[in-house]
Amino acid sequence: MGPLIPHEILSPEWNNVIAVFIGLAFGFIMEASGFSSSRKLVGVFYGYDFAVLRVFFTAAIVSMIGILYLSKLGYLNFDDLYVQPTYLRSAIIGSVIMGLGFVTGGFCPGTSLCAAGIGKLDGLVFIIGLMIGVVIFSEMFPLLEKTFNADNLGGVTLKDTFGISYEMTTVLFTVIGVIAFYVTTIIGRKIRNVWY
Amino acid sequence: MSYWNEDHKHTYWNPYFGGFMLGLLLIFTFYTTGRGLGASGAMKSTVVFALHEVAPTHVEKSRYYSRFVEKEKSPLNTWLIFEVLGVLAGAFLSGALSGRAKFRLQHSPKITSKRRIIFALLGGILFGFGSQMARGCTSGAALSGLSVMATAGFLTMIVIFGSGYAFAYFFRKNWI
Amino acid sequence: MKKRLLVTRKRYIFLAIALVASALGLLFFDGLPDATRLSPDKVLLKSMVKGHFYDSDQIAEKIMSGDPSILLVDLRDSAQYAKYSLPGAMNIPYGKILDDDYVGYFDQDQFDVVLFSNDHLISEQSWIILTSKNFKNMHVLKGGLNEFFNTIIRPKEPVATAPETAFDQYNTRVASGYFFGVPMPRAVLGGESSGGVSETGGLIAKKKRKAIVIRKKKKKTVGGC
Repeated sequence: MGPLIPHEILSPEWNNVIAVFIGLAFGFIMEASGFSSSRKLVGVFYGYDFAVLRVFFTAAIVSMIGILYLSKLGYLNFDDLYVQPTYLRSAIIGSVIMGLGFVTGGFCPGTSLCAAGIGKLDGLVFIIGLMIGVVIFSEMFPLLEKTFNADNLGGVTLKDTFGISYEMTTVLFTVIGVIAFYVTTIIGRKIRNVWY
Repeated sequence: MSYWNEDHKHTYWNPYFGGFMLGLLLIFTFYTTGRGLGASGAMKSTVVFALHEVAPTHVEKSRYYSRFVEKEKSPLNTWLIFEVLGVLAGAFLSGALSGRAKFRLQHSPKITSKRRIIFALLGGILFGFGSQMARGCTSGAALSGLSVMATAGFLTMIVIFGSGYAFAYFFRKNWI
Repeated sequence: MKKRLLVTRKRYIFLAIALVASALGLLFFDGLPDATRLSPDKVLLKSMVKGHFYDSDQIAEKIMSGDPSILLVDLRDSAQYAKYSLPGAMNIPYGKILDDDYVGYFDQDQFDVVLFSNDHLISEQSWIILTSKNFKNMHVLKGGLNEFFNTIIRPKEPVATAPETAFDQYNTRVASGYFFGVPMPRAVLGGESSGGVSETGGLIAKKKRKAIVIRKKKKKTVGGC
């Protein structure tokens, strides 16, 4: 059955309409969970607010379980979902830079849009920064191209890389998530309250 | 009218509830479109569009930009641009409903506004650069990647948060 | 205050257990049987009912009336197809029915697909293969082209004592014969019918229909940030 649009059960013209509604829900959920506040987001790195970790892990666990059940019930063809390619080197380098950007700027791209949506100027500045970053990357691309394309493993999943079944991955991830929720609650109680 | 009280300004959803809703949204997104959520791709499209208007030959010659320019199709006509417009509107809706929507600059009381702006810009530049390098950001690569068990998703998530913790010490004065 | 905290804690513990349990459930739930396949016993049952057969008269009528809902599929090889075929038929050789290029013609729900070959043995086998993949609206021309030739192109005159309906049918067949290129008045063709249609040469006019593309497209999913 699904995914609906790639299988043309729903015509491709709907793609952009659906995109707007998905975006609406995405923005609403992020804002309502407090993702428009950089001080709340960064709290995860200093231990005074673990909202990011809780939302992020819960979302990942729920969608992993849900997608697997849907595909087992025959509503969704797991193999037709988009799996981004793994370029080992560039993924690690890029992610290190992103982590640095996260503690420096206090946002990630999605959350900065959220912040800009409710009129936070630091969110807007962050978005401008993002665009400058894209320009810098593109101008430097000839220098970076080799690293950018190095160690391409293709669109692999954990099943391909480590041979763990999807079900086992989900169970392990869920258990790790629940332990993380518990541990962060304990830590949260010990750290002094930071006003934000 | 009590909902508009000052008390509600910082009343956010329970994070687990927020996460559950986000999970359902991810499932719906994969079920309908076969792909996940994203954000940084829209910034790239905007940049490509803007530069293509200003300096078309430069864009078409560039080895990176030229990948995203198609004939007879505006670089802005992508799924992510529409999604991001929705994100802006959705965030405003939620913020307006709880009285959080207004122009302001948020920062720790210990630092100046100027410092916050500079660091936000710097962080944005780094994040923009990194997201292009890693082919996706926290939502596009990490969260959506996790949902389909992509190796890249796990890798990106672990490294982003690991790097965040590693560098957090050096920026503590900005936040706490 | 303390009591309330305890209640919240209990709630979280319950939610955590529910989450882990649903994840563990994945390990023990093998999923429903694949909906894209039909089990062998069901295919067999379907094939025994014989509801999927069209006889030559039905097909001749559909061709003459220009019925747009049928898709005639010639399962013989392309050389035989090039010699003669039914008007409007398209050629998908027997061995290629599941190829990516052709499977889209079967995996759809717009047309009644009528499979035929010289006899109906090959088409019956193909029908079983296609039906077991749960493709809908598959049909077989009963007796294949040989039967079609014997009934429509060279119908046997009924004996004088036959009921009137038999004569009606005969007359209809003769009339249809003109449509399919039998010279008027009906020429006596050489040889016996036992040789099959191959002797008719280009007798059955082959008005080639442009292959309509009714493939169920499967776009590659794209994404990324």
